Order: sequence, then structure tokens, then C-alpha cells
Amino acid sequence: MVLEQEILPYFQWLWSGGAGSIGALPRFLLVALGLGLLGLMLGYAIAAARHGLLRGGDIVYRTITNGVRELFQTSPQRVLALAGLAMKEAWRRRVVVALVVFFIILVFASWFLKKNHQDPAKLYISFVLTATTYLVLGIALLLSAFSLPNDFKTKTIYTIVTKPVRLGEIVLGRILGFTAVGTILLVIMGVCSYVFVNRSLDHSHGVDASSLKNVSNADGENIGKDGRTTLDSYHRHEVELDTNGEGLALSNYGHTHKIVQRGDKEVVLGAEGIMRARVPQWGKLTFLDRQGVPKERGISVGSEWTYRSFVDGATQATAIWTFDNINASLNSEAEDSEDEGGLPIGLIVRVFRTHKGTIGKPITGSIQVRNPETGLTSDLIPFAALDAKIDERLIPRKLTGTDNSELDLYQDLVSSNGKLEIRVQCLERGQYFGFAQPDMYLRMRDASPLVNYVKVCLSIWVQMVIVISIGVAGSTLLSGPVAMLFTVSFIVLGFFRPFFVGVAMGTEYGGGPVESFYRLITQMNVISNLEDNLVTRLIKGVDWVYQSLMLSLAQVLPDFSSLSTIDFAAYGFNVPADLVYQDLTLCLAYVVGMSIVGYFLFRTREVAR
Amino acid sequence: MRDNKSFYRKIVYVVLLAVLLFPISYLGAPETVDDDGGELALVREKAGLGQSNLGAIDPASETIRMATLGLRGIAVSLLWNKANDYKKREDWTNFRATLEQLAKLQPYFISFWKYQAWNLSYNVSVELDDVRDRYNYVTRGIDFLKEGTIYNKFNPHLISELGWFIGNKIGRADERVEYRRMFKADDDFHNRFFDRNPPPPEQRDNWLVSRREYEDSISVVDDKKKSIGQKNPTIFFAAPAMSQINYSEAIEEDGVFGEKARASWRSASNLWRDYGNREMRSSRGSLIRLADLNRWELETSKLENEFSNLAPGIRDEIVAEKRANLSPEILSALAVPASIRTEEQQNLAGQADQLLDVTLAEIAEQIAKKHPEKAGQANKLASRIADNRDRIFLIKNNRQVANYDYWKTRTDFEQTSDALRARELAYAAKQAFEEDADLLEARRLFEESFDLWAKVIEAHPSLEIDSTTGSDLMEYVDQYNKILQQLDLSLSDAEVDANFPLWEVVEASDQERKYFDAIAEHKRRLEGSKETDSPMEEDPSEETDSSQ
Amino acid sequence: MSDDIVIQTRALSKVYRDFWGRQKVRALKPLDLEIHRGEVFGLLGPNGSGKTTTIKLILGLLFPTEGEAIVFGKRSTDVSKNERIGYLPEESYLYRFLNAEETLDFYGRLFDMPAETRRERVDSLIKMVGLDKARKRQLQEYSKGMTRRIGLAQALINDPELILLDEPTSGLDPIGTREMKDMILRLKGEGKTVVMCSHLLADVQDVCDRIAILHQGELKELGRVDTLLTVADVTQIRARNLSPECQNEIRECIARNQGELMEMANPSTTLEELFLSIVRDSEARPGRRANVEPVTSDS
Repeated sequence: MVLEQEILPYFQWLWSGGAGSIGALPRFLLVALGLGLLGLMLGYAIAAARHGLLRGGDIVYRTITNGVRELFQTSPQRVLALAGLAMKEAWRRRVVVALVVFFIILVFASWFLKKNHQDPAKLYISFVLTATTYLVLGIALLLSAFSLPNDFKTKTIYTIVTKPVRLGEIVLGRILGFTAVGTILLVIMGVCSYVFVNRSLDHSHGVDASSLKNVSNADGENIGKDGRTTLDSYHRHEVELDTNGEGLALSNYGHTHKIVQRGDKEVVLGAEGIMRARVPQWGKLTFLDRQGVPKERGISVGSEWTYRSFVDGATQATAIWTFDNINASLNSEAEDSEDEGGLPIGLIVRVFRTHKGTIGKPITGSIQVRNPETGLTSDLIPFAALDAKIDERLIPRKLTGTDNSELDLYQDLVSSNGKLEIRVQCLERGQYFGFAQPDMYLRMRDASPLVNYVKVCLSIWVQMVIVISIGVAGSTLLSGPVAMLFTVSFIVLGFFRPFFVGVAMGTEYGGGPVESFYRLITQMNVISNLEDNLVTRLIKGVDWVYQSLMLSLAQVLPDFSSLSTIDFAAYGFNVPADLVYQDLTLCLAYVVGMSIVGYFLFRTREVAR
Repeated sequence: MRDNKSFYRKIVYVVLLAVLLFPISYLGAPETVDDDGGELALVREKAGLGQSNLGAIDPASETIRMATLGLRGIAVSLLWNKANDYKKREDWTNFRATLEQLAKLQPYFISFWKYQAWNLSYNVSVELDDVRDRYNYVTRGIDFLKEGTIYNKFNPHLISELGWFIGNKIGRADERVEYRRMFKADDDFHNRFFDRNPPPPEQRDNWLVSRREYEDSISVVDDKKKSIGQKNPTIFFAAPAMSQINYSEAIEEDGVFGEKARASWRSASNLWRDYGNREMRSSRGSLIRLADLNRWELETSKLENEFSNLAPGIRDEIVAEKRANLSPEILSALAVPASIRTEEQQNLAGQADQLLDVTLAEIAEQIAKKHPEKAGQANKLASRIADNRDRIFLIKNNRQVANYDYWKTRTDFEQTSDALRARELAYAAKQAFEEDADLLEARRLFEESFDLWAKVIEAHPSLEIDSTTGSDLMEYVDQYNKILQQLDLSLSDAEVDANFPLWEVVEASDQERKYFDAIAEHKRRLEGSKETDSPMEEDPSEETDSSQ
Repeated sequence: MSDDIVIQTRALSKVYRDFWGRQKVRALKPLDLEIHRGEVFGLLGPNGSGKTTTIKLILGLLFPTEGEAIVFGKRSTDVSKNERIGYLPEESYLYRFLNAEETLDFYGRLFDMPAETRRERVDSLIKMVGLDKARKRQLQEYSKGMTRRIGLAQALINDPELILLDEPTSGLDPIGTREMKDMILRLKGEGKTVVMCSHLLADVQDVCDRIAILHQGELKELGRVDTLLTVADVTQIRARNLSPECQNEIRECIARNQGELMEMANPSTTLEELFLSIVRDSEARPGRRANVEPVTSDS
């Protein structure tokens, strides 16, 4: 699968962060500090303008001390009561409609989803989960943005705040209540979509009897039959049967079938592996260029998408993955085979040809295993590149060295600290292999697809809670529609956060907002430089202000596109636990942060206006 | 009590709604390439109610368009953007899915179908490495286009585009051998493409299917009176015949000769003749037939005769009069013999030609002056001749566009036993060379083939020896040359030269100047045999040539 | 501050401003009030006179522009004072999708009441306000009177020491009004402090110990109801069985003290008269504390 951002281990993510970034916790504290100071300054400015310098200071001081005191007076019972109220309110506001919409989508999904794609599961899973995400976020948005303003409008809030309720409890209660409602909906949707995907994609085939041909081994002995299945769900499989007539329908459209004999007939069982949860252990990728000089990246073949970089064939150019924590326990052995198995890996090779080569013949490459400590290297293991498919193979335990010595993978080629290098080269001149870091991984035992699905739903849940927190916090001060717009802009900007940050940092073509507006009305293209004059300098100056503001805003903007783990399920990969913890931590940070922001916004507001 | 009642009533409504949704889903499911669709789609199909006939009633498309609540434009832009992004990120599954969503949103936007089908068949397919995957995306593009023709039943462009994809993408790609083989064996494709009513296996050649599509597109134009818009009719209507020609060539490339090839060429010849006899609208709006050139030329010369007989000598009189009016400089320039005129004199002579040119209208005017009783007839004749000349010009022009004469002759001679045999021999020679490495046999077969070719060319004097004819024969010559090289011989060897009958062809078609030396050698030899002795061996120019 | 004083306002004032901070309405001019434990205090004034604003300031629903309101010795913005307060808003702003029980239970939980106490309290309150039969019905199906009653119950859920009632009888029929007044008197009897505001003079007259009359945000009159309504120089005579001749004689007889004198007392004017005179006076001399002389017979 495509993984454009590296997933850091949880604690590294939390404390120190990856290259060029700081840890999540320090960042949270910095942002909190910044926001706190900003709020303090703004609050004092407004209070001072209204009530004079001294009284203003007094008000700010009291607001803060009260806030801190009230934090400790928070009563779980009141929060729960308010949460319960929020749930009842949500129910009354017909959140069930969302479920109805969801079922309509499922019923009509078959109009728009077809199974005639190479990887129907990917499409189905993306579709249902994306639909679920949008629906759940939509509900979260509507519930959270309109609830408090509605209370203000109907003045029911009067009877609440005249009770010994702390304002923070109102905010937190709302967040909790709507989260609970959202969770219930999400669970229903999740279960239904899981069933939907599995039911929709489950199918069976018959064996095309006319296609079956006997297969003999080298001694002319009959070892079974080859053939194909019938066409069902827009595809068929090649079939391999043993002499008992049992066997396997080979992988096509992302799944296989078992074939058994029942009453002298081959019966193709239901699809297997439609949903998978491959557990990859990713390594670190570096390159050697054609002269054998170490490089960060391979060469570009001019593709607009810079995710993969390439090694040229029949040169010293090599892609090198370094894996940690390798030991013999990772060895995978075939059950009924006497050989010693090997290290299971998954490999994705993107082939780029500069000439057609022999049409119909795949490009060959080689795998070598090397001990990064001793430099001991195995002989070349040749392979044929399967473009755009995952090549699941074993690196055999018994290897021969470059000097024909016998090597054991785990004893001789793994360094003392458990590191192992796997090197891949392309062997044909003028042809290229493209790689990105996640393109090779060690295959652990597949995780349960169901659990994986739950994890993906959890990431949707996290997004939902973040939206609810933002919506509730915004609605303490703003009227319903405005709070909704506020939250919607958070969501939209959140979905396009990389672009937003790109504009803020000036790395996107076309410059900042004013500059691109200027280009738009003067019909200037986005690449050419602005001529240097007073107007353009003014434009750039204003943009600088805008971009600084955008950059500050980006600090609190949730990155919804990276929060979503739908791709993992769609591509059949397990969502790494680190990512789940990161998402949950992020969620907690938003709930805490937004509750505090919501509290102080609420405090500044006169309830009875 | 009352709440319970209203509550139950609501529940019943919801259940009813839900229950109703299922039949809608069942009845309204859209017809697609792979699927017959729901009942409505079947009924629609049965009654021949294509989308473009009866407005849009594909529920899926309508629903999704309604669901955008008037924001279809925005939705479409977003989806195009998304499609581009998926393409950039090489996520072909989602790319195709996005195209399908787009198709529901803008099913009557012809360029969309063309553009995105092209994307699938031409751009996506080459991104994949495995030739089967490539073929798969080529057919997906074709399926996509086919879906477009379902929404736009009577759009000749889309249908003829389908002919192009099936013919040229499959039959002309580098992977054509594999593609054509897979296409023939792809039962599933034929099943869905022909809606479970596939043609018999021998007709599953991509060129034949392509011909069918082209014919369909033409019948839409003929029967439904649909316009072909900006398309050049000369090319549009030639397509089925060209597909048949390509088919004939392709099967010969596959090694099929004899009666099957002859029948195929005959069919191509018939189609070409029909094409020549088709009345097509020319660029000036008049209707022309490419085959009518002779008729019009004959008629025109007849009319011209008649015209000049109307008042003999009039033309000369006008010329004499005009000549008298020429300026002295021009006259003096004309007095100089053409071969030794200076540039200035040439210009003046050119002017004179223009000034002395007598148009039919002038003659007719003169006749009217001198013989008023013949004025009417003269004017009529003059305008008819002018019309005819116009027509002849158009026909000639369009014949050139379609390479009409060449294909006419070609489809004729390819049917002859000599040509068929010559092709078969060349094929056998190639096999002998490539498969069996039997050089002598290959050489013998080629030579036999070339002799027959020479006979064919002789028998069809209308076949112009130019690069079009030659490129096809040059492949044989190249092979032959390779064989000769391996035998340590060359075309310029006297013995080979003497037996090689296709020098004319080689000379006309050697665009890469591969055989420049050999041709020069051959020419010298020819002249030598005329002039009995020649010192050509030591010609220094040859050395400089060969050193180049 | 003595324990006896439940509410104290010091120069409490409120100016409503628009979004840009421009002064729009001066809703309350500096107000000094002290309300004592156990009394029923009425805030009286025409619409827009600042009664409700005062109550909202006391409750902390509004922030004072100047001055402050102290309740139970705490600032009005301090939430913890709410533990001992019950508030019935002008209209019952309650969640219409809850039923009576749920409503009271919900508010009970906001006071962190233990479940057991809460149940008993809810039950007794529902019975007290006479909604026993409608306890499971959603509030959206309630009549106006029922809504007021559940609103009152809600205000009493924590057995408050101080009850603020905003227009308690508005929208009630005569019987409902009577019941509300009885309720207020009963609360007084329980030793609770009640602050109510109303523009219905009869209500105030019937139940209040002390009243403050506000007009255009200004305090015009403050004092005990009986004192305010006493007229000093007038004698009221009510007689029976007087013949017309006798009636003629009465004027003379009164001087000579003949005939049957049934009643002779210092009569009260009606509150309505007092109120109107204050309003008239205030309009004639705006910006000044009303200083209405004890009403004379000719007025």
C-alpha cells in the first residue's frame, strides 16, 4: 500500500518526533501555551476596553482563578446528567435519519459499485467506510454545532446555568453525550458495512469442466489437473487440482477459493482473503546509485508523483532496506515440506521500462541479503518483477554466500543487534525498478481482518470526537449556523491540511491567497514570477501576514486525511498499533484542549443575551 | 394511547418506505456493459428506448444527478480532479471507480467518454508491466466507451471511436500479437461486449469487430440521419473497408493464406468499391462519389469539345487580342526562348501567361457578342464545365486523402493467386529463416516470392510504385538482405542483382537509404550492360558514399 | 454583612451594548437593595423597567456593567451560590422532550443529589404541584399552567433558601394564580426568602412584604407594602340601614356623632393607584427617586 508518511513508534512520536519535527506532547504544550497567551491578551484587551485597565485586569484574573477552581469542582454526576440530556436531545433531533441515509446508500451502492475491478474489496471497503466517515462527521457536526445555540435560543440554558453547574461540565457533557450517540451510530454502521462488504463480495464459482487438462510431472506421472473456473462476479480463476480432485482456485481479484470434492464433483468454496490484515514490519530504505554511492533516494523517471524513486537496471544501483529485530522466530516454514523455510517478505516493484524488452516477459531483478555488521552477503536470488502486485515470498533460510559458502540467514546474515539488510537490484539494462520505503516489509502472521476493521472504525470515531469537540467549543460563543461554518471550515481545511500548510509555507505554486487571487484576475499562470513593483510587493506583504496566520492556524488544525486509516483496510493491511495510540492521544488532546477553550469562551458570554 | 398510535403509524411508514426502496433498487438498476440491469432497463431495451431517444431515464444516473442538488458542475469538477489525482498516484482501481461515478453524472458528454476511455486504453494500460494487465485495461477502456454508446445510442462519433479502439489499439500496438491472440480467446469480453450474443469464434478478430462497429456508426448516420459533425466523411466512411483490409493483412501476418485470405481481400475490395460509390458530402457542400472520377472527366472533355465547336476560332481570336495588348517588355521577354530567360524575363513570361489565360466565361461572353443566338447555350456549357472541373478537383483531392487508387488496386491484386502465393512464399521464407534457420531454403523461397511479386506488379500497371506499396514489400527485402548477409552475399553482387526483380520498388521505397549503394551499383551495371564497358569499379564517389 | 441579608446589590447597573460596544440601552441605573432572610420581596414595574434584568444580574445570567450583586455573601458570578437558589424563569424554559419525572430528575442530578433523595424529592414535588397524573407525559404536551407548575417544581428541586420568581403568575388562570400565591405564602411560612417580580399589582399586593418599584431602570419606591399604602388623613365610613333622610343627616350627624357607625378606620389606597402615581411622577421628573407624598384623598 501507499504510505506517504512514515509511522513513528508511539513514544518517539510523543516525545521527540521524527526528523524535522518535534514530539506531539511538546507541540501540544507549545500550542497550548501560545493559545493561552493569545487568549489572555485578547481577553484583557477586551475587558480593559470595556471596564478600564484595573477592573479589566481584575476580571481576567477572576475568570482564570475561577476557571481553575471550577476545574476541581467538576462533578462526574453532573457531566453524566448533561451527557444523558445531550443524548436524548440528539435522539429527538432524529439522528436516526443518518442511519436511514446510510441504509439507502447501502441499498443503492450496487448501482455505483461494480465487482469488475481488479481489486473489488478495495473499492467496496473504501466506499462504505468513506460513506460512514462522511455521515458520522456530518452528524457530529450538526449535533455539536446546533445544540448549545439552540439552548440559548430556547433559553433552556437559563435553568441549567442557575443550577450549580460549572460551564466546563456543560461543554464536557455535550462532548460526551454526542460522542456516545455518534458511537452508537458508528457501531451500527460499522457492523452493517462489514456485513455488506463481506456479503457483497462473497461468491463462488463452478469448475469449467471443459477446461480441465491433466498435468504430468517430469516422469509422466499424472499429478492432477489444471483448468479454470466459470465466470462469476466478472472474473474467473485458474484452477489447480490434485489427483483427488481437490485444490485451489488461484489468486485473482484479490482472493482465492478452496476446491473440494463432494459427491464426485469439484465444489468451489466461498472466497478467501477478500479482507486481509497483513501485518508488515517496515524497514528503512536507502539507495546506492549506479556508481554504488549511497544516496537518500534513487533517480526520478519523470513521474509527477515522487513517492517512489528508481534504480536503473544492470548497474550498481540498489535499493537497500534495513530491518531491525530480526531473529529466527520470524522464520516461516511450510507445513508439509522438509526444507527449512525462510523469512517471509512482501515486495512491491514498480517497473519502468525505457524499451519494451521482450513483450510478455517480466523484468528480472535480484534480492541479496547482507549482514550490515560483517558485510557478509548472500548470492543473488533472482526474481521476476510482478508490477503493482504484492509479491509474497520467502527468503530461504539456507543461503549460499558469494563465495559459495553455506550460510544460515539468521546466524550469519543478521547482525548482533538484530539488523538485516535486503538489497534489491534490477538486472536488465535500460529497465528500472521503483521503490518507496513501504514497498518491502517483513510479513508477520496476518492479523484478524475483523479487528483491523474495528481499528479503522476507531479512527473514524477519533475524527468524529474531534469534530464534536470543535463544534461544541465553537458553539459556546457562536450562533448555530456560524458554529457550523466554523466547524465545517475546520473539517474542510483538515481534509486538505497538507495543501493548506503548503500554501502557508509558500511551497504551493501560485503563492499566498492574495497573490493567487491577483494571478486569477490577471489570468496569469501559476509558475511565472511576478514582476517586481509596488503592487506585487504589497501583495507579497499582505500574503506574508496571511501566511503567518495560516501557519498558526495549521498548528491546531487536525489532519483528517492522515487520521483516516481507511486505506489500510482497503489495501488489506493491519493498522499499526502505534498509529491507533497516536490517533487516540490526538483525540484526547483535542477533547481536553477544546473543553478548555470552550469553557473560557463560554465564560466570556452572558447567558441571558 | 395517542402517542403509541402515532408512533406505530410512523414505524409503519418507515417500514413501508424501506420496503419500497428494494423494488426500486431491483427495478431501476442501470444496465451496464457487464450487467443487464434491473427490470426497467430490460423493458427499455426491449422497446428500443435508448437514452437519446426518450430523454434520460436511467434511474441511477438521474438519482445521482438529483442528489447533487444542482451542484452537479462542482461535483463533476471535484471528481475530475480526484480522477486526475488517482491517476497521478497510480491508484487504478479508484481511478476507474471515479470514472464510473463521473459517467453517472455526465453521461451525455461525448468528450468525457472519449477522453477517459482513451486514458484507460492508452495511458493506464502502458503503466502496467504485465501484458495481460495491459490487455485488461485496453478492454476496460473499450468497455467504458461501449457504456458511453449505451447512453448515447446514436452518436456516430462514439461508435466509430469504438471501432478505432478495437481495431487500432489492439491491432497496432507493439503488443499486437499478444493482444490479438487474447482478444480472440477472450470469451468473457465478447460475451459482455455483444450482450451475451457473441459472434462465432472465427469472427472474433479485432479487425472484424472493429469493422462491425464502423459499419454501425455508418448505419447510424444513414438510418438515423445523424450528422458526423466536423469529421471528414472521406475518412469516416472508409473505415469499415480499411478494417477489412487490415484484417486481411493481419491474417496473412498470422500465416493464413489461400481461399480464406482471398475471400477476405475480395470482401475488402467489395467494401472499397462500395465506398467509392458512396455519395459523400464534399468540403464545398456538393455530393461526390470517389469512383466517379472517370465519368466526370469523360463528360467534361465531351462538353469542352462541344463548347469549342460552338464557335470555332473564338478562343484564338481572344488570345490574339490579348496578345496585342501586352506591354512591349513582356513581348520582348516572350521572344526570348524559355530556356535562356533571365529571372526577370521569367517573371514577365509568367505574367503573360496569366494575362493570356482565357476563361470559359470570357469565351462565352465573346460568343454572346458575336453569335447572340448561341449565347444561352454557351453560358450553360461554360458553367457546366466549370462545375465539372470543380467536382473533378474535389474528387481527386478526396481520393488522395483516402489513398483511394492505391487501396483499390491493392485490394484487387491481393486477391490474385500470384499475390497470395507470393505472400505465402514470403511467409514461408520468413518461417524458414526465423524458426528453422534454413538460410538457403529461405533465400530460395524469397526469390520465388519476388519473381511472383514482379509478375503481380507488371499485371497491375495502375499500381504506382511508391513508398506506400513498397513499405510492405520492403520488409521482405530487408529480411532477404539479412539472409544474404548471413550467406556472405549482398544485393549488389552481380549474381544476386541479376535475379532480383524488384529494383524499382526498392529504389522508390528506400527512405532510410539503406540500399543506396546497392541501387547505385545496380544502375551502373544496367548502364554498363548498355555501354558494354564501364570503369565503375574504381569510382571514387562510391567510396565516399560507402564511408558515410 | 449580616447573616440576615440574603441579597445585597451595590450600585448594581447594567448597560446593554451592541456588538461594537456602543451603548444601546441603560437597563438598570445604579441600584442598592438589601433583601432579608424570610421576606417576600416584590420587584414591581412596567414592562422594560429593569425587573428581569435585576433578577438576571442577581443570578449571574448577566454581567453587571458597574457595581455588584452579592448573594449569600458570594458574587453573583460564582456558581456555587446556586446550590441554595431556586429560579423560575418568566416562561418555563424546559426541555420539551423530557417528561415531568425526567425533567426533575435531570435537575436533581445537576445538584449532585444522591439517587435516593432525588427520587423522593421528585415524587413529593410532582405531587405538590399536582402533576401526578401527567408525570410520564412529555412537556411538549403540557398546557401553559402545567408548564408553570413543573417549572416551579424544578425551581424547588434543591429545597432552596432563596427563590427567585420571574412573573410567577403570568399565564395562569385565576385558580392557578391563587395556588401560586398560596405557594409563595407557604414558602414564606417555611422561612424561605422569595424574590418575585411582576407587573401584576394584585399579586404583589397580596403576598409581598416589601416591594421595590422600578421604572425605566430606576428605583422609584422601596418599602413595606402596608406602610406604603396607608393614607393618613382620611376616615372611611361604611354604614347600613340609613334612610335617605338619615343619609342627609349623616353629614351633620357625623359631626354630632349620631347614627350607627359600622366602620371607621384609616383606609388604604389600592396599589394600582400608588403605582400609577409613581409612574406619572417619574415621567414628570425623570432621574429622581420617587418621592410620592402619602396619598391624599383628592389624588
